[in-house]
Amino acid sequence: MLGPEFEAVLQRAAAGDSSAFASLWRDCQPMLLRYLTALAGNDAEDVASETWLEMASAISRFQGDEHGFHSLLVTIGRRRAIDRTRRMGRRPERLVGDLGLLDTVAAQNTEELAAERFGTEQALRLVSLLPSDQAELVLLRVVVGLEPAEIARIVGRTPGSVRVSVHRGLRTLAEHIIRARVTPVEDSSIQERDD
Amino acid sequence: MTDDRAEPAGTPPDEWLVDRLLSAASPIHEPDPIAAAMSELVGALRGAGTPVELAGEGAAVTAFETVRTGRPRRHASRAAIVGATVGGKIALSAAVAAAATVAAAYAGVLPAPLQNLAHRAIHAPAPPQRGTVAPGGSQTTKGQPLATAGAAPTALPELNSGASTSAPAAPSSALRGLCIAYGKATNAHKSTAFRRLADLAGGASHVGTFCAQVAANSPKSSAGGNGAHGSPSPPGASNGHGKPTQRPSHGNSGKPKPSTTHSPGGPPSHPATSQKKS
Repeated sequence: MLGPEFEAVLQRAAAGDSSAFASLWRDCQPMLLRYLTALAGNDAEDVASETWLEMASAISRFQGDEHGFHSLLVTIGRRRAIDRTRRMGRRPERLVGDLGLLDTVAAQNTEELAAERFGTEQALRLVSLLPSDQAELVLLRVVVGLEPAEIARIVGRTPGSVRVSVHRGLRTLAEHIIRARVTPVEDSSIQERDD
Repeated sequence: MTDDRAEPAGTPPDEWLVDRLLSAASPIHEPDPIAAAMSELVGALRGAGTPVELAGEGAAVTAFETVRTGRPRRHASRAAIVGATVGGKIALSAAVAAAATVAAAYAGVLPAPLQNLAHRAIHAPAPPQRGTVAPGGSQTTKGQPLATAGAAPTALPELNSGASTSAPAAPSSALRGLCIAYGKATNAHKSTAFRRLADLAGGASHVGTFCAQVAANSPKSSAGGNGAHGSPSPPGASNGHGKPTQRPSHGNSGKPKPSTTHSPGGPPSHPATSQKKS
């Protein structure tokens, strides 16, 4: 979040200042990419580029605060990801919501998960194992930081169901993380110390 | 729906937990282990951008500049294109700096020597055997970039329906693929994609602009800005046309309504943008 700076940066970007646009891009691109990965898989970067291109021409007409800007950005990204999927006539390359895989993945990464704070990449991998609808909601809420009411408008659900779904998704993942941590690592390379 | 599963008995969902976690600047201490793990998860998901995620800044800024100025930094003159027919590869580089010419290459409407070069360089179709020239061909000699030119509406459809004998399934995919490869390469300047793009763009320093043009002019709304230029698209095609209506205003500021993204049947709207210079 740019916070108090946002308004001034937006104005400069809207006037064509490319360094201000770069500030917005740096601030928003990671979350946009993380979100789009859930919708477009390997195409996320391409969709993000298209999204920014559209934003480049829409930005001078944008009026709103920083949340509104993020909301617009993911709305454009979402539509483009869906368009791309339709155009290709196939299901999106989502990293399939397969909770059955969750324990497997968690078990493979016990060491990482056991670390005090595991990394962004690993957290995203876990989220991608949720059912895709739920993964999208979690990302919009947690990564993009939108309020449930905004998310509800974007995805066409009720704020209450968004709230519950996000909570349950995070909770499901948290349970798996805990399970992974208490599961003994079956690894012959680990040797007990006798001394 | 998995998210409709009932919570375990005796643990009513604390729906506000997520709000608390999100409003905290850093992972907060939660006595409950599950809440603590959720807190960690939230912290990790909101981690700072990684270098990989931020690698495309240069390309994004170049694209922004191209969209905002509405023209490429280089202009291919009519003379350059005419000269290219005899001038070989050097002239070709200058000529294809105009995206319109690239479109022409895909449409197979360039003079045969140029078309041959384009065929080899960007997998555009080979020159037609009988020298047919698409009606849109003359448009390509204006040297106007697609982003601003009247040539765009006529040139773009040629990409898919032109006179070429065997247009690739996705005519611009090769060129866009090069640009995408360039954008993704960590060592872009050493990549094959980059060398080919540099040839086409007329120099290494023009590749960013060139790719922005390619993206902005890709058919079927695969890139931003496209919808604003009146390129023909099927009614209801949900492309860039929706964006002006996304502008949030008062009250629920900044909350675009997805329902506005489908334009009604009829001619595409032509929102006035900074790119539309007539």
